[in-house]
Amino acid sequence: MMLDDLSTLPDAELLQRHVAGDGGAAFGELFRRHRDRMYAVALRTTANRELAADAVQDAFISAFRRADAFRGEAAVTTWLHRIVVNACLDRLRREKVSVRRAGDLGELDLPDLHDRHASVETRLDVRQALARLPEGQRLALVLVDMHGMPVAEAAQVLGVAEGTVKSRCFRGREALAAMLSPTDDDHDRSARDAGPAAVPGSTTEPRGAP
Amino acid sequence: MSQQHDDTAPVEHDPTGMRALLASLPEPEPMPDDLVARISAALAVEAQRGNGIEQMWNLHDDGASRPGGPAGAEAGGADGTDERAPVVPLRRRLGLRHLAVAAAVVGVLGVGGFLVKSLPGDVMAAFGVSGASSASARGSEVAAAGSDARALVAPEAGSGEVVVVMSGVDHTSAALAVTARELDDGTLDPIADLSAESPTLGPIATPIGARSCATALGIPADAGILVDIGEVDGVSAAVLVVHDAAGRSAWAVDRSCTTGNTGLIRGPVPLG
Repeated sequence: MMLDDLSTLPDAELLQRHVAGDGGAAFGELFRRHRDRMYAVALRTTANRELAADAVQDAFISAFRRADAFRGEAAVTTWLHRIVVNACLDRLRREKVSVRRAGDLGELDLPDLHDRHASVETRLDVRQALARLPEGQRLALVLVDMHGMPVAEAAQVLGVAEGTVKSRCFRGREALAAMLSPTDDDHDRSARDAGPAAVPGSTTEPRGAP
Repeated sequence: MSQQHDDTAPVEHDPTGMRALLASLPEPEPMPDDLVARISAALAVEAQRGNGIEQMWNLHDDGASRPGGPAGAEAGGADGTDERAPVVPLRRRLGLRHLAVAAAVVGVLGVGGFLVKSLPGDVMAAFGVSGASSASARGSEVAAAGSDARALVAPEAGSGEVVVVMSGVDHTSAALAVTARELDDGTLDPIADLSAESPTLGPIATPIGARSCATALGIPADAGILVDIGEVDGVSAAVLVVHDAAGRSAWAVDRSCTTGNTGLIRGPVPLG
C-alpha cells in the first residue's frame, strides 16, 4: 500500500498493520498524525522543552515496540496519550533525582510558594504555576482543560476513576487561582506606587500591626 | 481560596475561571523539525531492526513467514519454535552497518537530520523523512552519504568555501596528519555534509561558526576549509583541513572553538 493510501486508514487499522509487520509504514503514518498533539501534551506536562522532546521520543519508540499490547479497548489516541504521559512522568522523576543528586535545582527550581518579594506579574505565570501543581492535578488540567479531552478519556489515560479526574481538575484550578491571585503585599505595593493621596489612611503599615 | 464543588458537578463548572484561562492559552508550536527528524530516524532504526530480524527468521523457516513487526522482533523466539541466535546473512551487513552508524548517531549525538540520510530510502520513506515534512526539506539540504558528498570535499584555496562533514573518523592528535589527509583526499567513506547547526554539535557545525573558529586561528578568510565534526583523542572535537596560499594544513580544535577561545588541540599540521 502506498503511503498516500495509509492516510485514509483509521488509527486502529494502522496499528494492526504495524503489529502484522509492515516495515514501519503504518506506524510512520500514526507518527505523522499525532506527533504535534503528543508533543504539545509532553510540553505542557513537563514544562521543559528538552524533557518533552526526550519523553515524546521515548513514547513513540515504546509505542512502536509495544504495539501488540494495544487491545483495542480504547482509542489509539488514548493509548498514545497514556504512553506519552507515562514517559513524561518517568522523565520528570529521573530529572528530579538527578537534580537532587547534583544539589542544584536548576530549571526545576521554582519560586517558593510563599515568596512575597516579587510582584505578581513576575512571580508566576500560568505555566510556572501549572508546573508547581501536584502531578495528578497538573495532568488532569493539561488533558481536560488545556486539550479539551473528555473526562472519561482522561480517566483512561491516567488510569484513575472519572470522579478522581474531576476532583483533580477542581482542586488544581483552585490551587492555580490561589497562586495567580495577587497577594496582600501586591496590593500594598500598588498602593505605595500610587502614593498616599490615592490611598487615604496609608496601608504601608505591616498587616496585623497594632 | 476555596470554591464550592463536588464530584457531581460537571467538569465545566469553573468558578475560579482557571478552566477558561487554561483553555485560552495558545497551543504550543508543532513538533520542531529537528525533533521530527530525530524521532523519525529512531523509528526508522527500529523498523530496520525489525525488518532485519524478520528476514533472518524467514531464512531459518524455509521462507515461511513468522509474525513480524516490532512485537515479534522483541519476542525473538519467545514462542519456543526457534531459540537459535540470529545469524546475520552476509548480504545484510551493509544494512546493519547503516543501522550501527545511525544508532550511534541517534544515541550519542541525536542528529536525526544527518542520519536519516544514511538509512535506506524505503525505511526512511515510511517515516516521511524524505517526503513532505519540513524536516525532510531540511534534510534534503544535507548531502547524501557517499559519492554525492565527495564533490563537496576539499574546497579549494582562495574559494573561501567552508564544508562541514561528519566522517566518523576517530582522529588522534598524534596521527592527525594521516587521517586529515585521507579525509581531504576523499578516501574515507561515508562522508555527509552537515549544513545545519545542531545544538549537540555546537556552532562549529555550521559554515559561519566554522569560519569564526578559523578566523580565531588566524586562517585567511579566503581559505577553503573542510571541517570534520568528530573526535580527537577520544573527545568531541573538530578537525579543520585548510587550503590556503601556503598549502594544506590540519587543525584539531574543541567544538566550542570560536572568536576568543580556539580550544586548540593541535595544529597547524602541514599536510603537504
